[in-house]
Amino acid sequence: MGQANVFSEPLLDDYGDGVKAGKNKRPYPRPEEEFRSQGEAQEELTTRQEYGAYRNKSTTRYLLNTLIELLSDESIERLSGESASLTSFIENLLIHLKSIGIIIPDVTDVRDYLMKHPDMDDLLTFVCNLAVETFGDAAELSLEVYHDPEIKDEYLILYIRQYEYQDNIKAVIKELRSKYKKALIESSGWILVTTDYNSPMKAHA
Amino acid sequence: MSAKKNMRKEYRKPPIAEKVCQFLLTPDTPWDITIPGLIYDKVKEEGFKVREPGVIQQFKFTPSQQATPQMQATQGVRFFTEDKKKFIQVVPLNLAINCLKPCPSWEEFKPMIKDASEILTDTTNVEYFQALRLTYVNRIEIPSSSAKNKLRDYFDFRPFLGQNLPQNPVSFIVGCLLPFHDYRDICKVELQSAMPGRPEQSAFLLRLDYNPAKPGAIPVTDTIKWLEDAHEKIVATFEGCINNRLREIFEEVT
Repeated sequence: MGQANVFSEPLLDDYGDGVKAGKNKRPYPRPEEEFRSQGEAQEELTTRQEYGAYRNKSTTRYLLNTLIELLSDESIERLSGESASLTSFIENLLIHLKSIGIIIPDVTDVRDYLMKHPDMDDLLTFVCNLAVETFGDAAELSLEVYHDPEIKDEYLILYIRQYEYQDNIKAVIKELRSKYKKALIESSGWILVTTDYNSPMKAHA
Repeated sequence: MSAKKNMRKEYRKPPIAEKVCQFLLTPDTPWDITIPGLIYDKVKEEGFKVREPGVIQQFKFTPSQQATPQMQATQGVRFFTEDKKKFIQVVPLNLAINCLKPCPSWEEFKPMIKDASEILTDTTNVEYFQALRLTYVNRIEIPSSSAKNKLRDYFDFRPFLGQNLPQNPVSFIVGCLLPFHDYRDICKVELQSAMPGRPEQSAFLLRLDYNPAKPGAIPVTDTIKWLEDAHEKIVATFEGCINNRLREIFEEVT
């Protein structure tokens, strides 16, 4: 690492996460790919580097060198271990969904659901990416939590609300569902892609 | 009373959203696929009965609206309590114990950490940890109208945008590595914009990760001593990041 800049993104991203970009990262499953199995993810396990011992020096030069080492990717990577905070992870997941155009009318509701079903993250991202790719700008995609009024049941629901409803929307949604239904079996939660034929909220606004 | 103790304040509405303690084992620690099961046999007696294996992922986040965050995955397992407010995550060479809101106090969290540490060391027969990490994540919401251009009213740790830059960023993330004990330990402080629960609010995550600056052999017997110190530093750093306006929102107990 050259000039130390503690506000540079690579440092903030790499520190603590312990894995450099390109190594070990798991890109989003693309819509054209099959949903990836857990077994495939096994191949991506972190390779940990040898650890070093604490140094026991106290000169100014040592402190300076230590600081430089701290700010180097190598040292940061050696610390290894991803941050285990679920709150941060879910928040960034929500921000990502918003950034790709998903509307979340009740953020607290969706956040609470994901905190209870954190294993849904991968599937949710996959489904939302797929929906965005399938419907593009022709529809509003609204992520909500459905609460059954009669029994204690709740699940994620992604409403597709087109600006001009196409005749084949049901078939397209069915095709989309077929691409993720197998993954639902292994999830602790549930997600349904559907339409209620309502007008997009944005249009009302 | 010492100056350190003066830093510890109590709030009626504390912003803490999650507390995490993470143990990393040295790379030479023998680890096989039976270890999570052995750990589960022990932690279920502590109430972590709901077992959910799968891929555990984390984002490597960039604040850009368009940038695609990178994800990384590790095969692991989570053991939840029945209310899902506490859980233990086990991935190879790594165990974390998480408590979600309402988080237990430090005095309640500490024995949980101790139990988790003992279960991990009993199962793996390790005498040293490669690293420990104590993480506190705070979720802070303030009224939107007052948040505009006035982060300085609430935070003593915040982004600074010069007068030649737009003053209304869509989102942001700022971070800093603060050294402690002559660079032996590091506290990573990150403040980022978050999704507010209500439109009239602005939300932020203030995350503090405290860990040794470098990987090394930390005797298991030193765990609690190290964590006590880490906790004090996190509390002091948190108080250093906010100012009295936020303390009013949190309703400081005087």
